[in-house]
Formats: sequence, C-alpha cells, structure tokens
Amino acid sequence: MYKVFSILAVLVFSLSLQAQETYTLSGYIKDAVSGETLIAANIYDTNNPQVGASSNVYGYYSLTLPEGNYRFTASYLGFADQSFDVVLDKNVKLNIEMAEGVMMQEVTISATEQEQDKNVESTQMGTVELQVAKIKKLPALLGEVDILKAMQLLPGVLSSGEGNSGFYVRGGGPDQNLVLLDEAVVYNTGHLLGFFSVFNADAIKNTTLIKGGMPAYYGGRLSSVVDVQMREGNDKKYEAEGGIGLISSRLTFEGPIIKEKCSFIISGRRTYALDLAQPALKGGDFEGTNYYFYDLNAKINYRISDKDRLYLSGYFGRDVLDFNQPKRDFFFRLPYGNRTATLRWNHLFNDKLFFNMSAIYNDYELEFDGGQADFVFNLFSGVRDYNLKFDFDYFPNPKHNIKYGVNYTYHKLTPNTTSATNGETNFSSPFLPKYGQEVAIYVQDDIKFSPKFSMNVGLRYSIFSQIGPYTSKLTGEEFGNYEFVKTYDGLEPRMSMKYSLDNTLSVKGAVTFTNQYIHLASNSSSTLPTDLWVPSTEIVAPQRAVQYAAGIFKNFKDNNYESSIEVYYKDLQNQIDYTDSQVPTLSSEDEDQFVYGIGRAYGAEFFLRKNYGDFTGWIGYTLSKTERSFTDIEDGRWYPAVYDRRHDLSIVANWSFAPKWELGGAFVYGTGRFFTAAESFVFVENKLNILYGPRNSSQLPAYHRMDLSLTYTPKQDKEKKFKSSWNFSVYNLYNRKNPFFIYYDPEVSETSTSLSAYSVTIFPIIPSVTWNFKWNQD
Amino acid sequence: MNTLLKHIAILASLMFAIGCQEEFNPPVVDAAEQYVIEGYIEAGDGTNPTFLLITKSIPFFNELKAEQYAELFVAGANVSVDDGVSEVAFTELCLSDLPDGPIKDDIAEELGVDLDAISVDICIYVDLADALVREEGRSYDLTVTIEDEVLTSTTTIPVLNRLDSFKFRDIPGEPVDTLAQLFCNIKDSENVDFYRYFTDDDFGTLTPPFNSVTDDVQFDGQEFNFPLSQADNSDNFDINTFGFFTVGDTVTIKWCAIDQAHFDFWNTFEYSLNGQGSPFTGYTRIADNIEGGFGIWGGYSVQLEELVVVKEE
Repeated sequence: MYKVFSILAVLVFSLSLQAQETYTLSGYIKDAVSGETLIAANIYDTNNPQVGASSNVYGYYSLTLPEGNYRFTASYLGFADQSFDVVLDKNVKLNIEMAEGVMMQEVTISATEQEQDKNVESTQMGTVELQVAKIKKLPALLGEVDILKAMQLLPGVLSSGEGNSGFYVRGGGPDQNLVLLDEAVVYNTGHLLGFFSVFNADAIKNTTLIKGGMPAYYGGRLSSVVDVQMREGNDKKYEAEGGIGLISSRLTFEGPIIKEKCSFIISGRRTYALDLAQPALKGGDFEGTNYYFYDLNAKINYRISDKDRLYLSGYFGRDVLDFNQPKRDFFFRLPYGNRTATLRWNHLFNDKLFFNMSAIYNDYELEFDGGQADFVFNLFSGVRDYNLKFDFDYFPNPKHNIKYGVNYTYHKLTPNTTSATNGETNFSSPFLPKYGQEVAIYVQDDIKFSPKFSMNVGLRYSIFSQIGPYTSKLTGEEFGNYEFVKTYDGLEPRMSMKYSLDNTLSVKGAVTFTNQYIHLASNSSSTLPTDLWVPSTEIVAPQRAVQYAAGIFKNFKDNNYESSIEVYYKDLQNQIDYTDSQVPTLSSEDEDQFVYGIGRAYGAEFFLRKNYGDFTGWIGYTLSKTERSFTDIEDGRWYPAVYDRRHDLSIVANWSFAPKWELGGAFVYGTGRFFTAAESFVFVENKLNILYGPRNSSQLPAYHRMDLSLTYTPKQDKEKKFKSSWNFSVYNLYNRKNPFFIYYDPEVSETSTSLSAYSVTIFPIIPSVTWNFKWNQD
Repeated sequence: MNTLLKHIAILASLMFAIGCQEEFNPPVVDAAEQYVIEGYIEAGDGTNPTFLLITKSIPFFNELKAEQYAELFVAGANVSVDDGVSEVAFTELCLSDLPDGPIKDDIAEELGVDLDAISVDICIYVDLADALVREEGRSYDLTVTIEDEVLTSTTTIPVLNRLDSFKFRDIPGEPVDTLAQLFCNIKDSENVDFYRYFTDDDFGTLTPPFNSVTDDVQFDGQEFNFPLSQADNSDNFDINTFGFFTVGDTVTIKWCAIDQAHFDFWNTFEYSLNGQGSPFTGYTRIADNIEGGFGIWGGYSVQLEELVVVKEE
C-alpha cells in the first residue's frame, strides 16, 4: 500500500513540474436558471478544439495552458454554446452559467459543428448519460417516469421482466450492477416487486450508465455502473414542481437558504391506489389490508468559501404491505426499503487539485411482523454499509486528467434472522450477521497523447476481509470482533483507448478487470425484496470478470446524428447460483445452497441517435449470447442464462409536431426469454407433479411492445408563476400479450389426465394520464 | 420464507386481475421415460405393510386416458430390501389376485384407482410375510430390477420424538362453536430431526396437509406447543376454515420421523407443487433418492393418535 502511495506522489509531483510555465483557467459550470452544476460539460479552446477539459461530477473544471490570449467555448448537450475571450497571463477563476438554448449577453452562440463530441472524442466506451428532462418525455407505465426503465431502451441493457425496473447488462447478473445514488450504494432498486424504480425523477439531475470500459474510480461490481446524481436545488429562487398520476403523486420543493451560497431540495412521492380502496375493504375479510410505497429525497449544499463546499443528501424509501384478516386474528406487516445518507466535502487545494471526501451510510432492510392469536413471528434481513472515500481530481495540463483515491467500506449483512413467540415459548434462528471490510485504492489517467490518440488507463487494487464475530463452519474456530476470518484481494487493471481516424470517426478499445465481494443469488425470474445479499466468506469466493470491448464511433450531419458499433466479450469466474432443488428456507443459510460456476457473454451493439431538432430519438440493436456452466448443475453443461437474449431492438422517438404538443414513442423487441420447461409428469401419493427438462432449454415467444405518449403544454405566459402540462401515455399500444410467466396446471377429468401450460400476461394495453405542474418565485 | 413469498404472491395477484392468461404451447422437449418408485417402510405405531409401487413417468404432451391409467403400473419387477439382517424379496401382488372385498377396496383406494373404471390389472410389491425387521435406527437398502435396469435406494427409520399431549382450542379470532384448532406438545431432541404428519381429510383418509414436512432448526431441543392443521382435499379453499377441525369428529393424527433424504423429497415435492402458478418461483427439481430412476423410498417412525374433537373448557 505504501509503495502505491509513493508512486502516486512521484507521478503527481512530476506532472506538476511540467506545468510550471502555464496558467490555469478553472471554475464551475452551472445552469444559469437554477444554479445546478452541470456534470461533464465541455470547455475547450475554440481555435483548437482538441485542447479542452470536462467538468467533473461537482461541475468543476480546470484547464492549464501556456500564457496567451484564448477564446474558449463551453458546451453542454441541450444548452446553448458559450464562447468568451480570456487573457491567460495569470490563473483565472471563471464560473460559467449556461442557458438552455438561449442567447446570453456577452457570449457568442457557437455552431454545433464546433462542439467536441464525446461519442467520438472521449476515450470512454459503453457509456451513456441520460438526462432526466429527456426521460420525462418518454412514454411511461402508468405514467410513472422511471430512469431505470429508460435505460433498458439502450443497447446491451435488458429488462429483467415485463414492466420491471431490474436490468441485466452485457450478460451480467442482476447483482453485478453497481447502482449509486450520490455515491451511496442502492441495494434494491425496485418498488412493488420491481415494477417501479426507487428513483424519483424529479429529484434526479443526471444518470450515467457505464456498461463497459469501467474507469478505475468505480469498483465492487462486475458488469456495470449506474451513477445517479441528485439535484442540488435552485440557489437563486424558490421552486415547486409535482404531478398527480393514476397511482402516485409527487411534490418537490427547492430554493436558496442563502442566495447563491446555500440551497436545498426536498422531494417526495407516495402511491395511493390501495388507500382509495380502503372503504371497499371495510367490514370485509381483509379490512385494513393495504399496500403503498413512498420515497423521500433531500439534499442541502453550502458553499463555505471559493475553495470549500459541503453537500448533505439522503434518501429514504419504503414499501409497506399490511395484511389483515381480523376475523381470524391474523395479520402481517412487511416493510422494506433503502436508506442512504451522503456527506461530501469538496476542497480545492489549488486550481489543479480538486479533493472530495465522502462519508456514506446506506442500508437495505426487510422486516416481516406477523402472527395469529398467541403466535407472533418476526423476520429481519438486511445489508448495511459505512463508507469513507477520499478522491482527488488532478488536472496538471490538458493532456492529463488524473483521478486517484482510496475507499473503505464496512459491511454488515444480516441473513434471514427470525424470532417467534408461541405462548410462553420463544424461538429464534441460529444465524448471525456476517461482517466484512473492503478497501480499494485506485489511480487513473485520461491521457491525450495526440489529437488523434488518447487513452484512459487505470489500476484498482481491492481487498476484502470477512471479519468476526464468526464461528468457522469449516474448522469450528471462533473469531472475535474485527478479527480476520478470510481475506481476498485482486488487482483490477482498466484500460480504454481511442484513435480518431478523422473529426467524426474514431475507433476504441477497452479491457476491464473487475472483482465483486458482495453477492446476490436469486432463483426467481425477477428480483424480489426477499432476495438476500451475502458477502464473500470462507465458503463463498469473490466473483471475478474480465471484459474486452472494441468499437467504431461515427458522427454525421454536424454531430446531429451519432452512431456506434461495439462488440464485447466477457469472461466470468466464481458465478453463484442455487441448486436446482433449492427451496427458500429459514433453516439454512443461503450460502449452504449455493453452487459455483463460470460464465461467458459476447455480443455486438448497434446504436444510432439523432440529437437535435423537432424529431429526436435513437435506434439500438444488440446481438448477443450469454451462457453459464456449473459443475453441480447438469455436470457443467453450458446452458443459456435466463437473461440470454439473441436479438434485442429498441426504437425511441420524440417529435415536437406543434408548439404545444409533443409525441413520444418507444418500440421494443426481444427474443423470447429462456426457461426450464416441463418434460414429463409423475404420480406420487396420488398427486400429479412435474419433472423438468434441462435448465433453460426452452424459449418463450418473442417479446415486443409499443408505447406512445402525448405531452400537452399550454402556451406558457412568462409572467405567470404557475405552469402545468398534461401527459397522456399508452403502454403496450397494440395490446401484445407478452408472457410474464408460464405455469402448468393438471387437467383432470373422469376420462383423462393431462398437463397444460398457461402463459400469464399482466400488462395489457394501459392508458394513463398525469398532470404535472411547476411554480417558481419571480 | 415460503409463507412470506406466498403472501407476496397474493399482492402480485392483485396486479394479475388486470392481466389475462391463455394456453401456451411450449416447444416439444424429448423426454425419456423414467421408472417412478414410491415405497415406504414403517416402524412404531405404523400399521401399513412395507410396500412399493412402480410406475412410469408420462411425457408432457401425452394425455393419459382413464383406461390407460393402469398401464402406468409396472409389473414383473424384482424387488428386494436388505435390512442389514437379511435380504427380503417382495411379493408382486396384483388386484386380480385378490378376492373382491374390503381389502381389495382399501388397496384400490390407496392406489387412487376406481376398480370399475380400469380394465388392466394393477400390481404392487409387498413384504407379504412382514419379514423385514422394522425398527427405529435401522437402514434399508432397496434394489429393483426391471428387465435390464437396476434401481437402488437407501432409507432409514429415525428415532421419533412423540407428541405428548393434544388439546383442541377455540380457533383464533372470532370464535366459531363448530370449529377447533389442534395444539400438540413436543419435546424435540438435541439431534437433527425431520418430521412429517398426516391427518384425516374431509373424506376420512389420512392425508398430508399443505406443508407436511419440517426440520427442527428453529426449535431444536425445545419443548413447546404448536398447532397442527387438518389436511384439506377439497377444491374450495376457505381462508376462514382452512386447517381447523370440526367439533364432534373423530380424527386420526399420524406423526412421523423421517430421514433427511426423505425430508428433502417431500420438501421439494410440495414446494414444486405449491409453487405452480406463482410468478416468483422458478422451477424446482424434486430431490429424489432413487438411483437409476425417480421417486422415494422412505422410512417412517410412526405415532398414531385417534382423537375426538372436543374443545377444552
């Protein structure tokens, strides 16, 4: 560890020496209206667009150049470019405020052809940024805007099921996606069995999906990163926005506490569909039965000085199922959900060195309290992390953008622990929480060797230890608090590179090694709140993967159209699954029912997107194959993973066809999901039961669906503080009966017995309407 | 956890109300025919003779006509069981060998066949002379030879922790004069134990209830009271009466100790059976204990109790 720090120090020092004859332009790039910082906005030398920098996740940029007179351009997708002159004879601090397509005083709107385009120019590949404003214009199931479902419309990302917000990326399992909300890990991303994601779009500023070429900054998961940033709140004036939909309503309030120095945002959402049904349940067998979910997002930020900023953000969400059967004195209450809290301190050591410290808490808990008469039962499971991060962004010169840091996480993973009381007798499960600590250190550099050739190279070293208290299942040895039980580590080299063939065409390649120390196995077709996360232990080894990717990227028509073809191959080790005969039980730990194997996934992704104009949208197509092999499942036969999908097509479009009207549409097509079909049936104890064929050897029919949305925004009077719009959505426009699941039912009559299969569709054509509003202070 | 998932499925079913279902024709899967063994050996209060049924699996796409039912039963097999003292050959006993009467009717009921509807003979294999030593703690090795195929299995009869008291109480919630809930007392041993139980169903037949097996991980070594549900074979599920006994009835409770393989079989068998129709359970492969085929060869240590349903004051 000491050696790594020494190398880092030498590297940073030597780069500083190279920059002695130069001056630095630095500052924050913000939205002129709300004061929100803009992530990954570009600033570059207008006369030499290859020389530039991007703002980091806090909106900070730094560009160090030789002394001289410069004209710079700042650009950000959806915002008007700004050009301005700077005499760089000393270090210059310049905060840039950008407006959405509006001419600003004292700036020049530059033509879009001068905008550097990340699709072609960035070393990153397999990376997509999703802006919430765009997502809000897409059709949504029951009118609930959902960033994770929008992500599923991108190539390489598959839905985990009809209407489900769970997702699989490039052949990776559902636990192999690192989902972050303001740096805090979100372990369960779904409400209502995954039909809605936990992210309230009104509170979200930016979402970045990385499905390949993961930078060394990220770690802990094998397949992808979904980095969600919460909004900071308008620091200029108070605003409120919200919406009333069929199943939920939401309200967001934001504004300055100290103008342009301290702001806040608070946003809530709650469902009420079953609240409205309560009068109908009154007096019946299930009086008091209810289900609802809610989210609360809050964030406050404070600029202590030009060099120091504080951010405190949090999320609290719960699904609550109350089941009551008063007549039989039976009840249960099932609350589950995530909590996150992130405290961040930004500090500028100097114009080139940006520092962030984050202290993060996150948990996911599931509780079940139920009983009947004298019998009372309680179940609890969960995962809880305490995380401390130190990250540095170093901008020595336009050829280097260095990030390095260290990250410590303390994990507590509680399996299904139960207690029950029956009269005077108490029961409790013998299983105890497991503890682990994870340390990662990383360094990465985005290096521009020449205008044509650049590379992002990084190295991450991670080490995970299972710690006590613990009693070894293998040796019986007892370990005290914090005592090391088993340690795993691994080097994770990361590299991605870009070579430009011309201004609009580049080729890229990436190699990514990843380790994962926290796992989730599920034997159901979709992710469930009862799915358990388990740590690496003396029994469960870490999952490891390496992904190779290559691609060609081309922009057309002044960057209005961008396209890419990417191919990938992913090799997965120590994959985890359940035995074929697994029965969920409270009598043994999940790890005792695991089997271990390997996986491979490969495919090609085609993407074409139109960025500007009245008509925008994209077409994404993926051709892929994903397989798994487990020694203890059919003697290691390679079989298709449940998320193997040969063809996956998404077409997304937005058309502003009149000043007040906007039409959105999405069409998706996917090869049918693999499943394990019944092979034969048997009679035992006079009951008919099913014997199944080889795992995932049959396929459901192809999945396809079209959604439409129409947004009506009445002519807005700029003087009015209150504005509103209507969104009409139709999910599954042509009422395609896509199977949600298959089940078998014996048909027994006096003359014969047979087994029939049935396909269940849960989302036929579903229209919805949402009224959205916005109020702002003068 | 099963219960938890079940209740989650109830929630999900609310969503299905807006959906629909239709018959689905899955792709044809080539299925090799398998021999299916179902055999039990009992000790303790168990009065059933040691017997074995041999049937065949039915390909998914086949329709089994009533007249074909008897063809499932395999005749002409050689069956023997080694109890560690001696190897006993079972006798093939076919319905046609038996004179009409109550014994024949009992066996037909056990096999689930209508004597008037079948045209082909049905055979079972029985330790007719009761030559096997049937006792707790003993293992039994089964060998079945059918033409060129040999199927084998082993089971044990574990030591039983007997139920030591039975009380019928008011059902939870609003009392109903005609219904009672059965509570039993048990002193579980410090060993790893597995249990299965049966009760009379609505037709007076000993039947396993909805979830008939359990291990003792949650209550290992403890003495406690717990409720037993009455088995329900009727098609009409009523949440207000499910599992309760009818006051005035005379019911039989069969309480058994089984070994782990026997537990695994019924645990997976019932989970597979009960999971049908739930979108949240994948497939479950039944963990059987027959080498060379499919099925169960299981030992039971049995406690039988006949009880009159009278609520305690």
